[in-house]
Amino acid sequence: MKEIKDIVEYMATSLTSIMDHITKKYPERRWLYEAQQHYWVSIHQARQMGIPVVWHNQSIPPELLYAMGVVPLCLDVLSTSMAAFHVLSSRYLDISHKYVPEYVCAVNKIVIGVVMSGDIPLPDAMIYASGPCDSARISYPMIAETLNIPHFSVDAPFQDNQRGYQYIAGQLKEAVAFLEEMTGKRLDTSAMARVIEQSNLSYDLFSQIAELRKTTPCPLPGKLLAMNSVALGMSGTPQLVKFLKKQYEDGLEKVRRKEGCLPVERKRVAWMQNPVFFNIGIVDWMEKEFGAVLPMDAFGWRRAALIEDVLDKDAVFEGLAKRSLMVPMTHMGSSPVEYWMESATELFRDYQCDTAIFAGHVGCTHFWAVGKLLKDMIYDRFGVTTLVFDIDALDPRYVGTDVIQNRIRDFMETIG
Amino acid sequence: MIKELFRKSDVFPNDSVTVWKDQGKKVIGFMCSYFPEEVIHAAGMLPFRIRGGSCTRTNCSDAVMSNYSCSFARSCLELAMNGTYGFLDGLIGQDSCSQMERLYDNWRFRTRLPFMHLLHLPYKNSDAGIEWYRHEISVLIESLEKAFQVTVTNENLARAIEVYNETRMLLRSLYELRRNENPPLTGAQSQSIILAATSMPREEYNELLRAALREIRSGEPIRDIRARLMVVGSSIDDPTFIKIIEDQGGLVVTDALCFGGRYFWEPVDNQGDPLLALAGAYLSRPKCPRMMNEHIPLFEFITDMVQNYKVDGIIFQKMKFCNFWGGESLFLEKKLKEFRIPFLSIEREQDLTNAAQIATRVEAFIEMIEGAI
Repeated sequence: MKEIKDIVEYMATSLTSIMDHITKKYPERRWLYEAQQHYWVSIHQARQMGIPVVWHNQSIPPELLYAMGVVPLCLDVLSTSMAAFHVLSSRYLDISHKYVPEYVCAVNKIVIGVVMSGDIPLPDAMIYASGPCDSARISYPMIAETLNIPHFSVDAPFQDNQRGYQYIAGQLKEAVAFLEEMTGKRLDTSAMARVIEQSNLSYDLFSQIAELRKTTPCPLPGKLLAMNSVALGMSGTPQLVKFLKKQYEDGLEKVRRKEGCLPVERKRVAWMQNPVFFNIGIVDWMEKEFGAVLPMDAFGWRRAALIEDVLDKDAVFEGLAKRSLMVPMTHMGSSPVEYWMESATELFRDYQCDTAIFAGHVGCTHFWAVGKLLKDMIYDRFGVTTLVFDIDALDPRYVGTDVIQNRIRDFMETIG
Repeated sequence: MIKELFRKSDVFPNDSVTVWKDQGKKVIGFMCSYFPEEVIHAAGMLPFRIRGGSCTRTNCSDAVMSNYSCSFARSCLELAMNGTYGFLDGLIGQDSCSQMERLYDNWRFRTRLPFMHLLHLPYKNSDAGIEWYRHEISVLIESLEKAFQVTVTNENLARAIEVYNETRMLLRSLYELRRNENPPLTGAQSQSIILAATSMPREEYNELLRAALREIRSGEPIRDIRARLMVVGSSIDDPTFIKIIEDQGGLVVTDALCFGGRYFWEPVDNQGDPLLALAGAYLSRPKCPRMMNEHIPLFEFITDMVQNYKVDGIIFQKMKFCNFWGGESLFLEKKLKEFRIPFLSIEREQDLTNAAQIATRVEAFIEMIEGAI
């Protein structure tokens, strides 16, 4: 394998090559990758332009960082994006096993492998919140302490209520003071307002797309649900708005024409857990092979979470606190099981799902521990049997595409 | 008296709990060393710390929680499902770690108790975090008062803090004896004594412990110690693990365990608002890696122990699927190397199925230390 000196440069170059290829061969698909390309190129260029880079995790709204004029890199996006590059992700997973046990989540292990190999320039600072799971809670502070990266932690409790929002908002304000000191950048109210306006557009589009997806037949393919995870690092950018707007327009057009994303929709699958990040094309295969579409997954973006007064600092921080809690998986991972159950219930009640698959990521031990409760709830309330099997969503060496397809095929044949 | 304490820790419910229940009084289970037991004591009830003990079969809980859950959580759930914890009148869950939170989820869905309450424990020690925890504790008190028709007053809380601080002082005396060149008790015995504290009425325990300390002080010191060891890492609620280590000739003279030194190390300030004092003391106590901003204090706690107890080597044991201690390896092992203290990193399960392998590795570790001394 070619030696890599800078994984960000590698991602930026790879996405640019992918875009070049797609532009020549499938120009109609350019929009799918434009936002991702912009994301990686921006981070890569930030170094060259002397703009501070701040690492964060999925529970920290990147809007805050964009508003400060720093360039955010969401570490969860780094690993989930890299999962598609199997040789590379395997290399970093192997490196991570020198430092942490194999049961730590691969989302975090890939990051550990990258940083411990020295294949990424260190950031000016790091900020992370306590969602969504123990693996994240321990990995990010460990990385920061081990590499002496200035860092700030935010305690995000499971309480999705006013008191919880204010608690988190107070810490986000402290985080700004910390980042101002570390990066020399200042949070400007008007810049914040512009970024929040963009993020409001994104959240509004997420909500509208989620509504469209309730339609039978489902107007949009399942793969987009996985691709939407780029929002973890891009909320607040016009590029994300553009990406979501295109999804919305395509979906709306399909609904108007009473068409689905498939010629014939046979099944509506409730996907209960993470996408298979190492091959998100598995859902394309399900659609093609069985006419089985994913209208929504249990972790998908659905709520609007709009911040109405973008010039009111307190309202903005409280709104960001809400968003911190409602990031897909965060709340369900950190809270009593009822939150996951409610999310699953919506899939059957509102999205008319008739099939359930729990392809449980082995790193998500907190979901596995209540998987049986969820499965029983789905059967008791909706009479639907859930296919349960384990995968490592980022490591095809654990269970590969063929095995996953066989399990799904057997299940689909059984339920008819 | 020391044997009496061992007996109290060996079985649960022990006879003290049975007598307590026979008097018509309530027993409330709790799950973590960050839980302020004083609150339950102040409500006139008995706090009982949940443990998996020597549970060796987890057939029922495996089916429920899957094999991707830590075996400590699965063992606790197994005991709940098979009725061992049938003597509890209530349970307080905590999100100490995901596994404990999911243990609580499964428990309340499978075996409902008359009183169940989830107490959020902040992941950060800060002024805001302490204030948050104070509020959470006050909400818990309201729930207890409503459910059991009791009143928790500040005076009751102050009295409870006094009783529990006495335990802390007595256990510090016990640990002080372990600093001796030839300590009068083993690490396994010491842990049994601590376990008893979490599973019987506290006044009775303090009395027994005071008497036991007199017995221990006049006892025969342990000689022929091949290495003075410290155990660090995941929750150990069964002294068998420490006994395996000591059977190889090492003596565990101290620890950084939540069923060990970290359970009692610092007293609670008994001045002013008792809830604030409890929240502050518990969040500031020696750390579990769950606390996001306290990894350096945890390391310093360990190194202080190493120096004060003249530790020759550390056994860093991690329960499989314990993400916090597993992840801590990244930082802690590097720091321990820099500190130049020998350490042995071990993965284990609650039921100690790999006991022979652990024994072999510990023996080799001790030989390595002996070679270096």
